[in-house]
Amino acid sequence: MRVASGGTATIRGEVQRTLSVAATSARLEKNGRIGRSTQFAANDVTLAGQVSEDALVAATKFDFVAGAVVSGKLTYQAETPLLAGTAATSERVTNLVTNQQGSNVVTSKLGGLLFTLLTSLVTGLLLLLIAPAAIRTATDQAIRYPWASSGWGLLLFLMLPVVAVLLALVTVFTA
Amino acid sequence: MLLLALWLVLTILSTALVGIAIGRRLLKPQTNSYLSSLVGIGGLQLILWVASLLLGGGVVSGLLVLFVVALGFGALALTIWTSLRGHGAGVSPAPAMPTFASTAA
Repeated sequence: MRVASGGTATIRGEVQRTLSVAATSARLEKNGRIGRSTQFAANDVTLAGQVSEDALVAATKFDFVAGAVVSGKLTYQAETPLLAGTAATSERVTNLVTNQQGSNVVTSKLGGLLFTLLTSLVTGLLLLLIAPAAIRTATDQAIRYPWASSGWGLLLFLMLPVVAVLLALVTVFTA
Repeated sequence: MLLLALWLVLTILSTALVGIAIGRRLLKPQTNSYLSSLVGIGGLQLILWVASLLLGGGVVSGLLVLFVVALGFGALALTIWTSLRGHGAGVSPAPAMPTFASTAA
């Protein structure tokens, strides 16, 4: 493990081990490469080079330059993050301030919306096609008695898995 | 795993059911049931998505989803219950051009 500290810490070339940096300003240059994981704690942190494993950054201003690479997980806590270089690693980026993953949270949630929208639409239309009268009765129940329906629904929703697991246990231990 | 899959199916089913109910409430009874279902399910999913985006997938957003699922699940359970007791669902033939008004007949 290597430790760097001081007013300004600039890392150039290759560091083959884990590197911890505590400084006012810290910068991993474009030609800089850290062979294992790294931790940066500084007022200004700039990552322009490569980190072979995980990177943890705590900073006021964090600049993740385009072209920078973190092969493991990038976890950061920063008031003003500039994440130009997260395109390649966005799946593995965690912002500790908002506890959100990735720079493109809206995009990933949009994917979730599309999936649930499509499955719900297909299910709903199939239900209407197969059993329109039953669906009419069920929706009548939901419209006329919303609180009773949601109360029973919640009870069943929470209790059914418990009952199922208990039944499975009873079946296993009595067999 | 089977239980989890069953739960996922029930969740999707419940959400679809609540979406259909919302469509019925929003649009006139004479509207084609497929169209009103599309509007209802689409609107519900959009509301849930915006809520999750604004609230960051927090407790309130989770409770909203839980309420929707519970409502659909409960309505489904009550329908099955009344059907088993001999009143209710699944007796009308499907109409050629269905609307919720025509399925009531």
